[in-house]
Amino acid sequence: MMNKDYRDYRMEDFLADEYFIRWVKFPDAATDAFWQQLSADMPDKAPLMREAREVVYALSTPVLEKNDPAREKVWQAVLENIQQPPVHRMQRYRRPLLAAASVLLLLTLGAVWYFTSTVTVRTGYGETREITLPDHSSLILNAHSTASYARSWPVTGKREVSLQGEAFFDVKHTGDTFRVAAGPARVTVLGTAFNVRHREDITAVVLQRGRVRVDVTDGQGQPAFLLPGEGWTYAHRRPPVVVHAVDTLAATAWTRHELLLNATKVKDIINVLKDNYGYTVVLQDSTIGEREIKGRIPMQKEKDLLFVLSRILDIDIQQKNDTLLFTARQ
Amino acid sequence: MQDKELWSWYKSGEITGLEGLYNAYYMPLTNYGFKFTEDKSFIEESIQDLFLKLWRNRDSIVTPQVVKQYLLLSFRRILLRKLEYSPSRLEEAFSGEHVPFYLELSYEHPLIRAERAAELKKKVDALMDTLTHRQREAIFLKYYEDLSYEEIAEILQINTGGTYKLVYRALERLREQFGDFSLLVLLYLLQRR
Repeated sequence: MMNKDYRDYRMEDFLADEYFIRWVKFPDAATDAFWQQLSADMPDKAPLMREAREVVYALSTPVLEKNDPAREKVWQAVLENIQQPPVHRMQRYRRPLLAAASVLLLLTLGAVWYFTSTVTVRTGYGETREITLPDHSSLILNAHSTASYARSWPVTGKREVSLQGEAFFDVKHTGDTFRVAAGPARVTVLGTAFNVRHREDITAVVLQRGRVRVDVTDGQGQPAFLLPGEGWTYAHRRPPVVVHAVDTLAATAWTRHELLLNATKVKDIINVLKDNYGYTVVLQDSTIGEREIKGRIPMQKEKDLLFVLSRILDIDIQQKNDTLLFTARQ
Repeated sequence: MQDKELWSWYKSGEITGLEGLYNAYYMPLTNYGFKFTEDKSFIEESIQDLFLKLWRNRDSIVTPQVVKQYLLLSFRRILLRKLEYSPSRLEEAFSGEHVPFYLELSYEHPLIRAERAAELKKKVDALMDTLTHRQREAIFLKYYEDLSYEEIAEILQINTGGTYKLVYRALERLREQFGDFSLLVLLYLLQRR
């Protein structure tokens, strides 16, 4: 289905294709496999692709001056200016009293709003976003997820985030505790990096570095203390499980826009398609779901992911609205 | 990845973070600036303003998705304002063609005779002249700076589809003018070490 487009590809189409450019300039296993396969499937396009590669290189190399003595000079000028405080221009009000009154009103309204509202960050399907929290900790929000915290955090210093979906936290060590509430779980940390996922009935925490404490808020069982490389999983109505030797690289691969598969079953990938992109997947043959994949798949765009999946599994993927139909090729 | 780390250092008030970003982007920004003007003082001033502004506003600046694109975009804004190309009227902003952008490809090679090199340069300059300023800028941002169509769209203030078309038409134009891309490929082969 996807090959059809390429049959009509002219020089310009290859040159303007972002996936093609990426392969030429930053090749990796997935892009390489894809384009090599394409040129094997369509030998008549192979010379065109070779030429397109060279044109991409040619277009990528305009004149560039090396070693510029002005670099140090300009930086020194920046540093000097940083030392001096900026000059503020004062606004002149014609009616100072009125201005003062309205400022006061605004301040009062502002304060009420400031201390009662929350800052909420949401991502849609297929979108990830990195945000810096008021304490300079960073949070990468995976697709179809929501994170929120009190707007007054910079003033109160209370480090608390609630999460729906999945996020990776890299917490600055400040001496104060940092809390994440995700469904029934509450994670308490000092300074550390960890992944939290709360989708439907399952809540999971994977620790990359540092130390965290995980509590179940409905009071079930003892708190768990995790060490780096350990994971904690809680499924509805079952006791929480601590897993040793979790593949933290795989658990956080989404923050690098890729899917790291280590003999992963296709049905687990289907869950990713559902959770992160909102697709319902229909398997024409249920054995497809039991097949295992190893390797790295780019997730920059869902198109890439579907492409590579169809290649690796040798299946056709048809899309109808939010439904994907996986069919084995004959 | 390194960009992100430098950025978070800088955001947390570390001047070394800002310096790291400065060192990483001084050349790309100068290089981009030269496509708009040959007057280096404008470019240096704009870079100085950009980093000063980054530092002063570090608490309010939101961490961008792509640091490089953010710096190119902010630098472009400052430079164009200095050069007084900043759009004063809407229609100008829409076409953007009043902002000149000159793209020259590298042609120097130790094994090629000077007059042959000059001849090639003339041909390629003529080739690039057939493009509009915006097409040249889009080509530069796409192939040289490796930005996505979406990121370029934000810099040029047009939509993503429009950006794709801009690049596509430029490529089509190059091919029409010269029959094929062999001249470009020749240039690339010549400068390969």
